Amino acid sequence: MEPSLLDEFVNESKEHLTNAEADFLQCERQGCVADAALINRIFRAVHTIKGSAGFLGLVRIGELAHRMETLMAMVRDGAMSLSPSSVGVLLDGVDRLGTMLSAVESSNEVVIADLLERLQAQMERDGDSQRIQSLQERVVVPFGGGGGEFSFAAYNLNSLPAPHRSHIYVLSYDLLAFQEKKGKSPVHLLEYLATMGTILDGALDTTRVEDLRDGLPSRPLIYRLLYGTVLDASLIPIAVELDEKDIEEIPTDAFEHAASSCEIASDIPPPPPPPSASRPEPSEVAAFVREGRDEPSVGSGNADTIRIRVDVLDRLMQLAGELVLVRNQQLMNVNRADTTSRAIAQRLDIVTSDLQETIMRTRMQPIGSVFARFSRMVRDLGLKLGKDIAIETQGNEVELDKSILEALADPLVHIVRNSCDHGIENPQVRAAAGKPRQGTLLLKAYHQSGQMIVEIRDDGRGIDAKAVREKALEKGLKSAEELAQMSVVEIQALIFLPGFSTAAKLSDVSGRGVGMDVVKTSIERLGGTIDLLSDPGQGTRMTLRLPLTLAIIPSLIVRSGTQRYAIPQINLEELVCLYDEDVARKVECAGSREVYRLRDALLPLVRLGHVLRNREPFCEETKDRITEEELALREAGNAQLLEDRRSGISVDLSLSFAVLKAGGMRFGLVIDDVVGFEEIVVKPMHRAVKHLPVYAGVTVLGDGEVAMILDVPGVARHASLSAEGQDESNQADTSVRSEERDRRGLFLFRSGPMEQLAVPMDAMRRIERVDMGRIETGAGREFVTIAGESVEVLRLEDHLPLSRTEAAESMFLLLPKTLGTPYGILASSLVDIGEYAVDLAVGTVCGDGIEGTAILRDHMTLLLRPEEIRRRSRPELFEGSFA
Amino acid sequence: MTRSDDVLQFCSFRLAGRLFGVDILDVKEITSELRIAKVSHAADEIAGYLNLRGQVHLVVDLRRVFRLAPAEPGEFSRILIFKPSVDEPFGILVDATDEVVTIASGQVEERRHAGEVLPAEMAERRKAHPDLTGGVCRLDKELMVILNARGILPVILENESHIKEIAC
Repeated sequence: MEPSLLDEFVNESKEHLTNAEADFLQCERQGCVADAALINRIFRAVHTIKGSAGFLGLVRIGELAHRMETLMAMVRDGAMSLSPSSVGVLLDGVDRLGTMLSAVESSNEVVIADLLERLQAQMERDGDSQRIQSLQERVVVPFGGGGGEFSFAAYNLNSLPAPHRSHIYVLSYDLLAFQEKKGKSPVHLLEYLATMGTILDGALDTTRVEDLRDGLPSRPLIYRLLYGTVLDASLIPIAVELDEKDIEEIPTDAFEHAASSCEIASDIPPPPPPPSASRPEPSEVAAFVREGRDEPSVGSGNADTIRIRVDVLDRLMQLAGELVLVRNQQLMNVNRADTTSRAIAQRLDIVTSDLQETIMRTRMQPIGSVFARFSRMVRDLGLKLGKDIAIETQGNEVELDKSILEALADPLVHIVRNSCDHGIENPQVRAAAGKPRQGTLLLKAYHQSGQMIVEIRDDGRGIDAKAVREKALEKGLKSAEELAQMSVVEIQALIFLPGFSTAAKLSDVSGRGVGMDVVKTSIERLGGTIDLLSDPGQGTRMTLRLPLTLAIIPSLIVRSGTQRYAIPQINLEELVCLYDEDVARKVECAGSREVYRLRDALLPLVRLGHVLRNREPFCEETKDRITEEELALREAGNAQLLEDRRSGISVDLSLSFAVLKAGGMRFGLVIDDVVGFEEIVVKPMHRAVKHLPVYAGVTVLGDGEVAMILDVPGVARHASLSAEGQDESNQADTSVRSEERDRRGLFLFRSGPMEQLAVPMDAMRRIERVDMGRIETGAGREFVTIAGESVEVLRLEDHLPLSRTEAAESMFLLLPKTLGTPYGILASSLVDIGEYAVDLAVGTVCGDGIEGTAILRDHMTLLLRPEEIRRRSRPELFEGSFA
Repeated sequence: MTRSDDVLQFCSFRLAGRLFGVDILDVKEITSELRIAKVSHAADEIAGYLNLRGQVHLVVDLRRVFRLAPAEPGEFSRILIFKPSVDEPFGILVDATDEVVTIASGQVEERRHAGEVLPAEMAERRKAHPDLTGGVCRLDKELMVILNARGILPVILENESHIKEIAC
C-alpha cells in the first residue's frame, strides 16, 4: 500500500484520537453535560478518521468510526444525551481505533462487532427513537447514469445544514494524482471540503481494484464523494479543484422527499469519466498551481506547520553541533588585535548560537503531550482501584527534547501508577483521616537554571518509613545497625534500591517486579536525577531534574594525566580546591576510602586517575591498595612540604576535586586540573567501546582534541561507591539543603574572559561606565574622576587568581558602599542583576575576598566580598580600624 | 583506471615489515593525523579516538590485533580510515602505507595459504579468526596478505567478551 498515504493517515488519525480522548475525559469531568464546541470537536475528529479510512479501504476502522460518528451526531443534534456509560463505550471505541491504527495493515481482520453492538445499544437506550428510526432508513443515490450508487442513512441527509442542501454533487477524485500534483493528502482534502460543505458519503471505486489488502493499485485510484454545498455549478470546479467532467450534480429536489422516498433517480446522465480522463493534463496542472497561489486560503487550516522526517532533523542537529565546534575553534584562533576579524568572529558566534538554538527548538515538544495521557490513565486506575483521583497538570507548554520526552514517558507512568496505587488512599480512609475524599495528583513541569524540572506530587499517605525500614531489613538490603543511624528521609530514599517493593500484595497496577530503581536508572540514563520528599500522611513529591537536550550539554572539562575529560554539569555540585597543609589535614581515611569533611557531611573521594587505570570495578583489595598508595604519596608529599618550608621555598601543594552527584550518591572526584567550562556536543560511543560503563560519550573540544565524557553514575559504580551506607545520607543532606537555598540579590559581571563573578547587591552603591582613556595613574595606582570625586580603580586580577581583563575603550566600574576612600571594581561586561537562589559552596575555591562559589545562569560564579578585596589591596587603609 | 569485475585493487601497507592489503573500496582515506585520545578500560587493541574534521573515529592498533610487539607511532605511521559501509567509523593504525596494488582476481590464493607466510603469532591469531584475512596474493617481490576490514572489530569484541567470561 502507498506507504506515505498510510503513514500520514495513521499519524493524523492518532492525533485526532488523542484530542478526542482528552475531550471525552473533559466531558466526563463536566458530568457528561454536552458542551456544543466540545461535542463538535469530537464529531469532526471521528468524522475525519472515518472519511480517510474510506479512502484507504480500511473497512473496519471506517465502520467503527462511522458508528461513533453517528452517535456523536445524535448527541450534537440533541437527540441523545451522554451518560457515563456511553462515554465509557466511546472511550473503548477510541482505544480500539488506536489499536487498529497501530497495526493498520491488519486492521481489516480485527473484530469490532462487540463494540458496534455496544454503541448501538447505547444509542437505543439513550437516544431519541425517531432518530434511530431514521438511522435505519437508507437513501440510495445512483450516479453516472446508473454506473454506481451511494447508499447512506437518511438521517445523514436530514441532519444536513440548510445551506448545504442547495447543491449536491458527486465528486470524483483521482487520489494519487491529486496528492502528487497538489501536494495535498486525502486527509487535507477532506478537511478542506468540510469547510465549504458537508460530505454525505464517500466510496473508493473498488470496481477496478481486485484486493485492497495486496496494496492499492498504482493509479488511478478514484474516490467518489457525495458532497452537499451552497456553491453553484460555476463555482464548484474552482473550489474543489476538479475538472467539470469529474463533477456530477444530483438534482436536489429529489432530496426534499428523501426521508420518505428512499430512492432518487439521477436525471443528468453524463457518462462516468473514464479513469484516465480524471488525471489533469499538464496545462491544467499549471493552471491549478497558479490558482493555488492566488488563493492562499485554499488548503488545510494548519498551513503554519509542516511535517519533517526525524532523521532529517537529527542530521540538521548534528550539523549544527559541528558548526558549534567550528565556531569554538575559530573563536580560539581569532586574532584579537584585528578588529575586523574580531567583529566577524563575534557575528559568527551570535549567528551560530541562534542557529543552534533554533534547530534545537525544532526537536522540542511540549511535555503536555506526555502529561495528556495521564488523565486517561488516572481515570482508569481510579475506577479499577475504587479510588477517586483528580489529576492536575501545570506547565504543559514547557518544551523538552523529543528524545528525552520519549524516554521520560515510561518512568513517569511508573511514578504515577505508584502514586495512584500506593500513595492515594481509598475515599473512606481519606475521609477518616480528615482529608477530602478525592485524592489529587499534580504533574508540574518548569525550567530552572537550564534544567527541566518535573514534579509529581500526590496528597496520599506518603511513604511509611517504618514499613520501608522493616522491608529493607527483611530483604537484607541494610543491616539493623545501619538503619538505626538513618533519618526518616534517608530511609524513604531506600525505595530506590534495587529489589525493593513495599506493597503488601502485588496488584496488577503496580508491583510487577519493576521497582523504583528502574525509574531511577532510566532517569539517570537521560542525564537526570530524581529526588524524593515524602511527608507521612500528607503526600509524596518526586522531583525529576532533566537536561533540556541530550545533544549539547554544558560540561566541566578536567585533566587527568595528559588527557582531558568532560563531566556533565548536571552532575556537578561544586569544585573544591585544597592547598598546602589542608590537603593532608582535611582529607581523612575512613575504612578503605579517602573522605573529606564537607560542611559536616563526609564526602567519599575517588581519584579519577585510579578509576581510569583500573579496568576492573574496584573491589576491597583495589581500594585498600589505592588508599595505601595515596597515604604513602601523601606522607612523602608532606615530608617534602615541610622540607621545602624549612629551606624557605614556597611550594604549591594542592588537591582539586569536583563534588559530583548521581542519584543517591554524592562524591568527590579528584582530578589533576580544572580546565574550564565548555558546551560540548555529545557523540555516541563506538560499538566496540560502548559497553564501558564509565563513559557517557565522546566529544571534540574547541581546540580539536578528543575528550571522553564521563558517566558519573558509571564512575561511582566503578569505584564501588554505591555499596556504602553513608552515600544515601549525603543525598538526604542535599535534598534538605536544596530546600533551604536562600535567595539573594546579586550583581553578576565579568572581569576577565574566563570567570563569571558576583557581588551582593546590598554592598553596592552604583555602577558607572568609564572611558578607559580617562583613567589616570598616580603613585602606582589608577584613578578616575567620577562626579568630582577621585575613585581608585581596583583590578580584580591583581588581587585574586583570575584571568586578566581584556583592553577595551570603555568598561564598567562597580562602586561598592564604603566608609573609606572611594574605589571601584573594574568590570568588562555586566551579566545580570537579580534575585538568585544561591546554593553556595563555601570554604572551597575561596580565599580572602571570595565568599564561595555557586552555579548561576549556568555558569560557575565566584561570589566576591568587595570589602575584603579592598583590604587586601590597601591593607594600610585598614590598619587604623583594628587599632 | 576503471575497475572491472576480474580486477581487484588493494591499498597496501606494512606492519612489522610484512605487506598487507585491504580492498581499496573499503578505504575512505588515509591520514597522518595521529593525535589519538586514549580510551582507558577499552580493549588493548583499541588505540583510542581520533578527530578528523570534527568527526570522531575509533582507531585500532593493528599490531595489537596480531599480537605483535607494540611500537610507538613514528614518522611513517598512518591511519587508514574505513568507509561507513564497513562499520561504525573506525580506522587502523599501521606502520606505513605502500602503493595501490592492482591484481587480477585469479591471483588471490586461498586463505589457508595465508597462515604459512605469516609469523607464528600472526598465524595463530589468523587461525582463531578465519574472517580476519581473506587470502594471500603473490606479487613480484613478495607476498601480500589480504586483510578483511569487516573482520577486525569482531575479533576485538569477541576477545573482549571472552575476557569477561573468564573474569566472571
